[in-house]
Amino acid sequence: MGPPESPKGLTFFDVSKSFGRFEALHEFSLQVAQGEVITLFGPNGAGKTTLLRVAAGLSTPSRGRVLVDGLDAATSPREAKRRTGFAGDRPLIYGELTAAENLEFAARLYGLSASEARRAAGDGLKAQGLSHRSADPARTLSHGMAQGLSLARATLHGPSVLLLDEPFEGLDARRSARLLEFIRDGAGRASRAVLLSTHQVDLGLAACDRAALLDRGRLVKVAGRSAFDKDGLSREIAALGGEADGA
Amino acid sequence: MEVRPTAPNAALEVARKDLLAEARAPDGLSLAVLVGALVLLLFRVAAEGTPLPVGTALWVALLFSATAGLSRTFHAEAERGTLDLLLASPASPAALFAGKMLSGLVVTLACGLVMVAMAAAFFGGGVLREPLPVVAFVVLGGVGLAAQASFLSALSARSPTRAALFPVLMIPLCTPLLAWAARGTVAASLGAGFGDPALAFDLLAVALYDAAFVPLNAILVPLALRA
Repeated sequence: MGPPESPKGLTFFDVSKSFGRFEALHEFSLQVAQGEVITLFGPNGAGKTTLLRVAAGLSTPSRGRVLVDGLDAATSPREAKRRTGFAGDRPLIYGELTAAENLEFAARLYGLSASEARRAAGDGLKAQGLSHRSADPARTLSHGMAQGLSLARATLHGPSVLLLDEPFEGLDARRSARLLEFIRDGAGRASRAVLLSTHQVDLGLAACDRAALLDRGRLVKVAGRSAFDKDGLSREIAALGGEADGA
Repeated sequence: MEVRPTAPNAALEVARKDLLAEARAPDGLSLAVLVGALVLLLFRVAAEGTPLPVGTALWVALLFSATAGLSRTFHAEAERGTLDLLLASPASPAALFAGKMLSGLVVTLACGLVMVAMAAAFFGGGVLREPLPVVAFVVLGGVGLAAQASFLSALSARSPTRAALFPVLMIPLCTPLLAWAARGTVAASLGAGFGDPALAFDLLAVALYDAAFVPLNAILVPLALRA
């Protein structure tokens, strides 16, 4: 894969990641363009989470380059992180702090002023339907609400790259629909590159413009959403040794 | 929205968040005080009828209380997954370390105040004979303990054996600090002031320990947190 045509978005260029002798990613190349949503599918151990963690700057690639809006994450890590939002498969929140305090803390880490942080926290809570719980300790939120709070945290600084690891995990139908709507049509959609991983084939396909299938750290297939159907993709994942939800 | 985090801001935000969480659920401080109080009590019982250098008891108590109370600075973040939140942010590892160290220092100093008061209650008022040198040792020693605890907590955070690894690293690394601070505090409890050359040497040694390890740990912490 050559250099990206547009610097905007997220680009993996021959990225490999090894843990000792185990190679979790092998010469992985992919570009997620601005305004595009790509869903990663694959069996457990395919490298989806490793890829997202590398993109978030949480793990250093053994080889290759990750570019965020054209910035090399290895040489400009802070600038790259400033443009990236990450929500993991667990809600990354502090139970002792209120919902609003969690968001304000994260906003301050990204350099927002106190008043901007308060405003961003209020907006984030509103977008997730959590305004009525803003003063409640985060430990009292349900799993779905906590995931909503985590998503609000990941987006409150207006990232141009959004990384979501198993975002539908544990969500009820209403919250899944809300999340799907946010990914497809939420504020900032046009200026954001979204890379998400999921085992839930139907939701993952509904969310994306393109889908990518991984197996043992390698990109097996990447194509537009219309090239995949739910049952066929579930069978492909199963053939690779995994199970897909929603099959 | 133009955002420009600076290291001091990020460090202060991390410290503020930690102290707010500690104020609402004082797990670290209560554990530190409990362990320190138990150590002092053991010294008090063991020393029944014999003279005991109270400064030694005080610093052994402070080392164990810091080891018990401060290990969780980064461990708790790793256990609940929020270490990812911190590391995915543009805040530098050094700023995260500084924030953790600052909140750890506040907890250590609060614990130190309680320990000094308990030492005075258990062993008589000798420890307060020259209070200013004792306060100086507690503050400077607290900086060293908080710096080591924060760094070692970061270093061991991702290890499955972190709970065991932390004290194994912490206690030997803090032993020189403990020796100088204990000797100086013993001298102060016997009436030595800042003008006493031996006490001044011990205070300088503790200050140099801090001056060496605070920047060194800040430099090394990116490696400790690297995955």
